[in-house]
This record gives sequence, structure tokens and C-alpha cells, in this order.
Amino acid sequence: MNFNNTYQNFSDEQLMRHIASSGCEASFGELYDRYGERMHRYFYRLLGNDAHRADDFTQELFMKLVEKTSLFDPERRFSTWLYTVAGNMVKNEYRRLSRQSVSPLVDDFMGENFSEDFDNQVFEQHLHQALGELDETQRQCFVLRYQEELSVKEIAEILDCPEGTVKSRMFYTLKKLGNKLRAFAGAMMVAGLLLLVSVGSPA
Amino acid sequence: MKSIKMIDIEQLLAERPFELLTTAEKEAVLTQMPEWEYQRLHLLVLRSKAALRQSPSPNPAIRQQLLEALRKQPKQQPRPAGLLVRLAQYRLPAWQAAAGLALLLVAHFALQKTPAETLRTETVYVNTTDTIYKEVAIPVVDTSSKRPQRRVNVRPSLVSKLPLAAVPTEALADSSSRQGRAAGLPDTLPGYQFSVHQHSGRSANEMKELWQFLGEVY
Repeated sequence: MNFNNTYQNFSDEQLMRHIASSGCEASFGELYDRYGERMHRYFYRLLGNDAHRADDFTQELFMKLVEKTSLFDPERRFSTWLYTVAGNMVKNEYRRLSRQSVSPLVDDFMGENFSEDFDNQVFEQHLHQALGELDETQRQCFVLRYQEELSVKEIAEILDCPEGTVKSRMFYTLKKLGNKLRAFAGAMMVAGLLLLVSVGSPA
Repeated sequence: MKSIKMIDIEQLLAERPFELLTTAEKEAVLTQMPEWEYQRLHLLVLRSKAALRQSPSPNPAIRQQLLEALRKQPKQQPRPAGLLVRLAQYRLPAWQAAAGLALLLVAHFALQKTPAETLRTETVYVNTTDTIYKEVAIPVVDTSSKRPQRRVNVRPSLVSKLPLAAVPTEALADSSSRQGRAAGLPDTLPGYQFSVHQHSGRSANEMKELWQFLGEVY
């Protein structure tokens, strides 16, 4: 009998109940495998792309599951509850740091060369900077929607606000980011056109 | 209406480029932004999704450290909860609580005991005040005759003390007459003590037995 397969079939909530009732290691391992990387990525994105801090926060988050299993509300979905706890940890960190100032993105970006800009790494850097200029709720919304690919309903549950609010926030966040990354997005369109022309022309 | 459009546009941005939108969707988009802006935001979403996927993996040591911490954690022996504790912890939906309360109220009013009606006999005294008058026939001056009517002097206080039988009918008829003055009788006013008009109440003649009874009592 393969125990790992058995635990893989359990829901998150069932695993959490096992951990709470008997400190089941296999259940905990399974939950960590499901959410460890996701939560690490979430922390990484919201804490200034700092991998070490993301490690610390991931560890701290899962330690809460170990030490304070009673924190889990069985009435809620485990995934949304975990994102809520992680979001609160990030908010506390923002408060602690009193929102460190970020250098403006667009001005820096406008002077750069297109060929250098059209690169995933560079885009990620600029996206990170642009995200840093958003307020924390907009940033959280954006990351939950486009990085974690959660539904609007799940985001509303995590942020404890109506779905309409999430959708409207998403729309304005996109417009804001679009303005901040205006030059970059324009370059992407030009690159796309060039790519089409080069593919279409005879060798 | 505006928010509905925003909702649709946000979803569309993540899903399709402008060319692949339906005519209705294109119209909805164009009320909010020009085509070039939609394309720009669509590309931004696609690029962001791709860029956000790239992130370092967590330190593998974290998993082990967490499992060790879990092993060191004192095992919580599940204590059998008492009946009262389990009852107190039981979560009830609001509608069930409201229905239960309503049922209790209905039961309370329905089963409320009304005091049993016992019958007993009591003696009551019914008292009726009635006026009984005695009819006495007295001679009176016939005012229809041509003879002028004489004046009658009255001393009611004295008359009221006299028994009815002691009043001479002559005096009653005419106290100012010579006979009346010679008898030394006080002036009386027959109209004061004795009414010749209609009385309320019942005549003693109608209730002879009662009248007799009252005579015996007094």
C-alpha cells in the first residue's frame, strides 16, 4: 500500500484535520508539496523579488500550521485561508518597513534601448518596479490574478471584499501598469510586428 | 453598467486579442478605450503572466526543518469533550436557531395552562330602591267653580312633623278659614306635603301585602 498516493487523494482540508488531530507528518509533507512553492513565489513577488526573505516567510507561514493548527478555520477553503494568512504577513512587513520608496520606473526605462528591453529578465525587472509603485492592495490583486491565476471569486474571499471591487481594482491596476510600462508595451508591439514581417518574407 | 463593462473587459484582456473579439465585445471595449490601448494591455497581461511564472524555488532545507519542528511538537491527545462542551461548540445555522426559537414560543403559548373554572354558590342580596306611595282621598277646592280661590299660607316645617291623620281635611282644604284659625292649627300647604299630581313609583294599593308588611316592621 502506497501511503503517499493515499495522501495525494485527500483534500487540503482533510490533510489539515490530520495535522491538527495527530500531527501527521505525511499530511504535512503533502500540504507543503502542494503549496510550498506557490507561497514562496507569492512572497517573492510581494517582497521585492527577494528569495531569502521569501524563504523566511514561507518557513514562518508553514510553522504557523505546525504550531497553531487551531488558527485554521474549517469553515473556509484551505487555499484561500493560506493566502489570507500570507497576505496579512506581507501587510505586516510593509508596515514594518513603512513602505520603502521605489525609484520611478518609466523615466529610467524611456532612455533604454529597445533591443535590451525586449527581454524577459528586463521586463520582469520593470514589472517589479511598476508593481512596487502600486498600492499594496492593487499589487496583491495583480499577483493573485496573473501569477497565482486565482479566480476573481477566490481573490475576493482572500481580500475579504466583493467580487465587483476586485474586478474594478484589476481593471484600474492594469490601466495604471499599462501607463507605467507604456514604452515597453509599445516596443513589444513593434517587436511582434517585426517578427511577423520576418516570418512572412522569403528567405 | 460601467462596472459590468469593466468586468468583461478585464476578462477579455486576459483571454483574447482585439481581433478575436466579437462585434459586441469590440463595441463594449471601445466605450472604455481605443483599440491600440486594448492591444497594449492585452500584451501586458500575457507578458506579465509569463514573467511572473519565473521565480526561484524555495530552499529545500525548509521542508526538512518544518518536518523536524512538527516531530518535536508535543502531540495533542484528543480529549473526549464533555457533553456540555460539545453542545457549546456545536454550530447552528441562523435559520435553524430562529426556527427553534419560534417553535419554543408557539409551544409556550399553546401549552400555557389556563386556571380551571370552579363553580360555587354565593348568596347575594339584591337591593332595589323603590318609591311606594299611599293614595289618600282628600277634598279639594274645585277650581273650575266661579268662587275665587283663596290664598293658602304654609309652614312646612311644622306640617312635616305632623302625622298625616292629624291634619284636618278642612284645614288642609283651607287653613285661612275661620275654623282653621279657631282650631289653632298651623298653616299648611297641601301641595307641599301631598302631591295631587302624578307620582313616580308604585301605589301601595297595588302592593297591599307589602304595605302591610312594612306596617308591621315599622
